[in-house]
Amino acid sequence: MMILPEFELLRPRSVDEAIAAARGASGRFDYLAGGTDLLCNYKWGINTEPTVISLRHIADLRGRDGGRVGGGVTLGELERDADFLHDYPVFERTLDRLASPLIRQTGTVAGNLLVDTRCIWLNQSEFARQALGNCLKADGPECRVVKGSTDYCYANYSGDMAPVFMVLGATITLAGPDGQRTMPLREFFVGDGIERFVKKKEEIVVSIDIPSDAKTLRASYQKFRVREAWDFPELAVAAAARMDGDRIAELFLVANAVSTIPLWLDDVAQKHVGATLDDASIEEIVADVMKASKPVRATLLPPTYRKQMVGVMTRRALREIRGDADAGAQPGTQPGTQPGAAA
Amino acid sequence: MTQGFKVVGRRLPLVDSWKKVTGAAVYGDDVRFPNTLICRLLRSTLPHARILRIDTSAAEAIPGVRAIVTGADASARFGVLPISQDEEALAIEKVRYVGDIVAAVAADDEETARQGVAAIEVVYERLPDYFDIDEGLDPVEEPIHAWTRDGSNCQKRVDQHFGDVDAALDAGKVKPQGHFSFIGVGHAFTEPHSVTAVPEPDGRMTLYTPTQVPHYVHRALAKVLEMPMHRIKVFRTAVGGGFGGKSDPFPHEMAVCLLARKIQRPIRLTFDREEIFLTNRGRHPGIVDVQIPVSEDGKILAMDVNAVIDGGAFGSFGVVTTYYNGIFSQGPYKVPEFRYSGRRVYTNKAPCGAMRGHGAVNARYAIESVLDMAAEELNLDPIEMRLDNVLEPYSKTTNEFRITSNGIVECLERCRDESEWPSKKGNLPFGKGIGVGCGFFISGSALPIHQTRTPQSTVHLQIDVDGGVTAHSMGAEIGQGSDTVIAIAVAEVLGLTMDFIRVRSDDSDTAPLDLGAYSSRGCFMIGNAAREAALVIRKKLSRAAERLSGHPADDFDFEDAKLIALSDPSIVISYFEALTEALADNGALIAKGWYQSPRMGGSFKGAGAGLAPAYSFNASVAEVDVDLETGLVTCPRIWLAHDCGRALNPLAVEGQIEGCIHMGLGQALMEEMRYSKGRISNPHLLDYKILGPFETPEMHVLIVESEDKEGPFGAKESGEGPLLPVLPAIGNALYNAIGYRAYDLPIRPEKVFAHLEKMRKSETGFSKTWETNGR
Repeated sequence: MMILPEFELLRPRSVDEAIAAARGASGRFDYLAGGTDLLCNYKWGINTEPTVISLRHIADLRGRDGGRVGGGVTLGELERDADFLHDYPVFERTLDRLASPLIRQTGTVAGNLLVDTRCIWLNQSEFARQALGNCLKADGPECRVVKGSTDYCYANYSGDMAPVFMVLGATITLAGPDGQRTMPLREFFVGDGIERFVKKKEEIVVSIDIPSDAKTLRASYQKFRVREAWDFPELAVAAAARMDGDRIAELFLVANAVSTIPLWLDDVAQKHVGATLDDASIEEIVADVMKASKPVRATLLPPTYRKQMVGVMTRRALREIRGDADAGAQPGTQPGTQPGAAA
Repeated sequence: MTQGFKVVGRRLPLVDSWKKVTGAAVYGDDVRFPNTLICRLLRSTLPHARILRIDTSAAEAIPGVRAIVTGADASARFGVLPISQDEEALAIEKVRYVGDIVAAVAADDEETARQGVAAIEVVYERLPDYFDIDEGLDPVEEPIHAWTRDGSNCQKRVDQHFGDVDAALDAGKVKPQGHFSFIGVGHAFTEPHSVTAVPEPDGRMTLYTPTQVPHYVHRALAKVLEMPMHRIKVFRTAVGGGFGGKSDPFPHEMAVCLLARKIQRPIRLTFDREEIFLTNRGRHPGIVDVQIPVSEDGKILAMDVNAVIDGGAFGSFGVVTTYYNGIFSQGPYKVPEFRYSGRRVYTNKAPCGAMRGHGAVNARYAIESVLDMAAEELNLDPIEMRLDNVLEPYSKTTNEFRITSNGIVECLERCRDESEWPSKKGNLPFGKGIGVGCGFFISGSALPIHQTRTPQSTVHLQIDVDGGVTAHSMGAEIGQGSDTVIAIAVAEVLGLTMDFIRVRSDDSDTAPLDLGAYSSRGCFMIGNAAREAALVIRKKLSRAAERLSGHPADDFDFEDAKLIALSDPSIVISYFEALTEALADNGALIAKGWYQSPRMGGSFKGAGAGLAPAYSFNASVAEVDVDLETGLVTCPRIWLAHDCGRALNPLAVEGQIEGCIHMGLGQALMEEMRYSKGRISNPHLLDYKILGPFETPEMHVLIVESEDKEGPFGAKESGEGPLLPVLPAIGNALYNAIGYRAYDLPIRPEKVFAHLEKMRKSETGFSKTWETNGR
């Protein structure tokens, strides 16, 4: 059987208590929100810590007010939040096809933002990692994806919420020993598959705030993977645009799950401001997004194919933003009803 | 029984379903005894290595570690087949794959057992690794097993030739061929292997195990423990899915018994998901070459089949699998000339074995694909061409399989009609396709694994004053419904409702011999044995009724717990009146029934393989949708018609067929055991992908009843055969949709995408040029 390793479980009731507990653990701890990511890794013996601090009992993290979403709000709560989905309809399908209904009842918004990077070499049992050879992120000397890489981990960012929040211009608020700080979410993610983000270990994600003008953006999240439930994204594209007549006034793009962090493609987006969303312009954006995406063999599907699918997902996202009723329109596909359409 | 059936043919919940849906069923990991120790296993992380030294002293010194066993504690080799006794409870001398068990540790709790495992020091000498089946056919430096011939890793060679295939190849108007390759797939059952060994106070040993084959486990335990069988009890717990993956005696079953004997305390071991993949026994990966010459009018002239299969590190059922990859080409079509060459090669990978549709699935995909090529070349409708070639009922195949009932024509016709094939075939837009496949499978292996004259199935019945009927059997209920088949057969014969029947099929001390749940034998063999036993009881009750009424015993019909005279329905003896009379001066009614396959088959080498008292037949039509931008393939709807002889319980038959569709689609579309240098790299259910709810199609299950003369009430199997036509129906539909022939499974989106890109850039673009011939 697969049992959890032993650890001390702390259950603070406030953010301050949680941070105090973290400081007391001298860096050898993990925060636990829904646990659907962390505890799986613990069962596999991946980077376990002797102390786990649960954030589930902190009421301050649980609420949703306008565009402000508490870090501890569960994905299931957000999925059932009709007002939120009315204001930001892009989340409806994002949430509907995230993990599985069961996992969404437990998993939280912050947990999904911070979901650990994944890799076919890393996400294995201790036995398998030993047999296959340990990787840089867990006890090994070098990355198994890019041989010879001893200081850069290529594990894949696999959350679904972050890219959508990013294209909507959301900020993230962290609480830590030195108080609170707020930054654009696009600046939050940095570094390799080990570093991942700027959050200090003791810091807690208090909330994500979507600016109210994001309500008038047209946004799309297009995710690709083999199964419509359970599977993490093999790649995805988030896009949002504000149209001025038939011209793009503002454009925001993220290529997701093709790198160690969600890729904020500011240069690509800026380049196409002022363009129309006709097929030719869409193809230019598609080409640029593909060029900016450099997936490696950290997931099951081959990187060259994933790169090609980045193009397809970009095209579908832009078609949806354009208002195409059937963004994946091709003979033989029925997006929205057919699981294979990977919308 | 001349009247219509009263119980047979009704849609009934399985008799064990109440326990399962309420959580009352005792599965392997639910077994609890006081003072039980927990076992964990030390497994090899090397694919092929000589064990130079095992030092357990540090592990033994850990407080709470109570016992450790290694290869030194058991020298006897075992295996499910008498001809390949190549498995060891714990590795002796060398390890043969990543996952091979080297030591077993019993401790107070799981964490301590893990620590014990980690503290064992093993010194290995690396040996050359063999992962490739091609290199295994030639002599190698260090054969994986010493007893393979010629110093190669080839475990089994089968060569059969009936008639003159070369002449048929010359005569064929068309002679399409294909080279197909298949990746290994696993059973992915829900319940992990979970066993408890209990040393009994009188020195006996009891093993609680979720197994499909209690009898073979019993035999292997006797051999490895060097104890007589009567000193061992095998108790089959509730089984949370098997599909062939629990049909071997396993090293871990031996290991826990060795520990229990050593420390004289109960030992429990439950696998994690990874250990299930390491234990494997899944479908053999391999290659299948098929060539089929066909005459101008669409008649199959011959089949030339060549298969090389990757056995992994041990024999398991592999000798049988080697035969099955070829000889099931003999149906459902007439094949006048036939040649088969099969090879099974040991490799340093997890051992392969039997899996639903054992041995027949991959070759069937190849054959049905090549038949579609022939139909296309000859401009014939694939269904009509198949209809022109099917075996006759009550006939014989070229390799002397005795065919009894055969509903293949109705299977094909119903699939054709219900899917509206004629209006779809040739009329679907690019990206949508429709395809057909057929299947043919044994309804129980006629040849028992151990060639004794003991019947293959025996059922005991016992009735006492309460009127309930207790049936004893070792037929392994694994969710497929064999207990329910017993209850239906007994209830039908005795005119009782199902609640009168109690089936006990778990304890080798009380159950008569049965060979277990494999080769789709349960319904046919256990059902017949149960029916025979019930007929004995029926006779006893009829005689009692004669004594009470003076009416002749053979004129009573049994219905609604009453014995009613056929010639004078006013003469009615209640079941309890008859029973009371039958018990008088006699005691409990006891009866047995048994089933033994009739002698049949040819006299050539290997003639026994694939013989069955009856065969099931089936056909499937599937539609596929191809996402033309991504290459993802989905199946929106599928029709599957299966000739099960008679559906004793249509609800159960439908469940089996739906399960087969799901499993077949999984292998066609996404399931694969990936290896990296001999190490399984996706041993968990996130990366080993079985279909999810979104990928599961609309299923149209069509039951065809051919009423087999020897089957119980006419029944034949329905648990495995329906898987066979699913894969080729998908492959052929995919070809019909986009002109892409999947020569390897699973169908990979990146390959489909590459094909689509090529077409997109070609002169024809997205058009079905291959469908325009003659239309």
